[in-house]
Amino acid sequence: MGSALPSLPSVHAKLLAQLPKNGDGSKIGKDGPNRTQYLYSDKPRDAAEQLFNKFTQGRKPLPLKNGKGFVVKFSNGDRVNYRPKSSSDGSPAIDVHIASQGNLYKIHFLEDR
Amino acid sequence: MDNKFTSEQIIEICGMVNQRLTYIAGPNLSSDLSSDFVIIATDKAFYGFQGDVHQGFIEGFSELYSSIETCDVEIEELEEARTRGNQYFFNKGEVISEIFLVRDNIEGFNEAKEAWHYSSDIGLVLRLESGYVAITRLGYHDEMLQVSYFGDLTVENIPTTQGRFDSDLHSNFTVKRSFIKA
Repeated sequence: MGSALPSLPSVHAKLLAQLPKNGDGSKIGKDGPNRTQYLYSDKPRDAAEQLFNKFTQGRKPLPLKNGKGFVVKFSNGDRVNYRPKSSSDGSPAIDVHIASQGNLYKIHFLEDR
Repeated sequence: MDNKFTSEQIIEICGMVNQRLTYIAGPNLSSDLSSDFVIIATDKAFYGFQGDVHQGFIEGFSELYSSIETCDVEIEELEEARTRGNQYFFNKGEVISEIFLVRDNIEGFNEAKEAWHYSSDIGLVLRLESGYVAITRLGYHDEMLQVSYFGDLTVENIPTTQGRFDSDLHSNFTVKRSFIKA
């Protein structure tokens, strides 16, 4: 489950590559029950917002009309969503779409256990 | 599982037939013509289309799946689109003669046996006098919509919908896209 790390050197791919990896280094964080990858932190909300701010690269996030979060679009077609409260488990989540690969990286932030 | 326009939404969409397209807009519909909210303005009314996401259980686990839905258009949203310059007047004044729904039928296979089936309306196409304009979902798992203009009604002219249906040695999937006259 989960998407393997991107190989193209886009800014977003580089940011993804800097995140903690699973055991063999092929994926971000730990595998979730579906295609979600989990990252653990003392303060999940803060960690999610900090990472989202890195991904936005200074662009203004646009609120989604359905009220479920924010999106930032980039000229190369990449887009990054931030959901403060995901509908699956309520944890903050970031979705990173790498347009050139058609890949979606879904990262949820959970409290350190 | 199905994720399609409802009968009520299709009736609402068909209201555009025989009206004249004025412009396409959205508060955040910038020049790349992608946004989670798109407004079609005709000479008679405004029609809103919104991308949304819903939790679904299709592939054997719970996942977020996107939908395109009709929605109300607020005066403030029209004004925001106007003041930000996010109005596009291509094909202005042309009659909308037909509307097609764009439907994807996705089948997942495990060990060559069909494991799941997902039928989903990914958008709609308006037939104008000199071409077509489409509003379609950009992804199977997020809210983003794409507006596109083209001359011929072919599947290849619809922007690729990005998904997370992974193929490997044991499982794969097929996507069949079709146009259905509304």
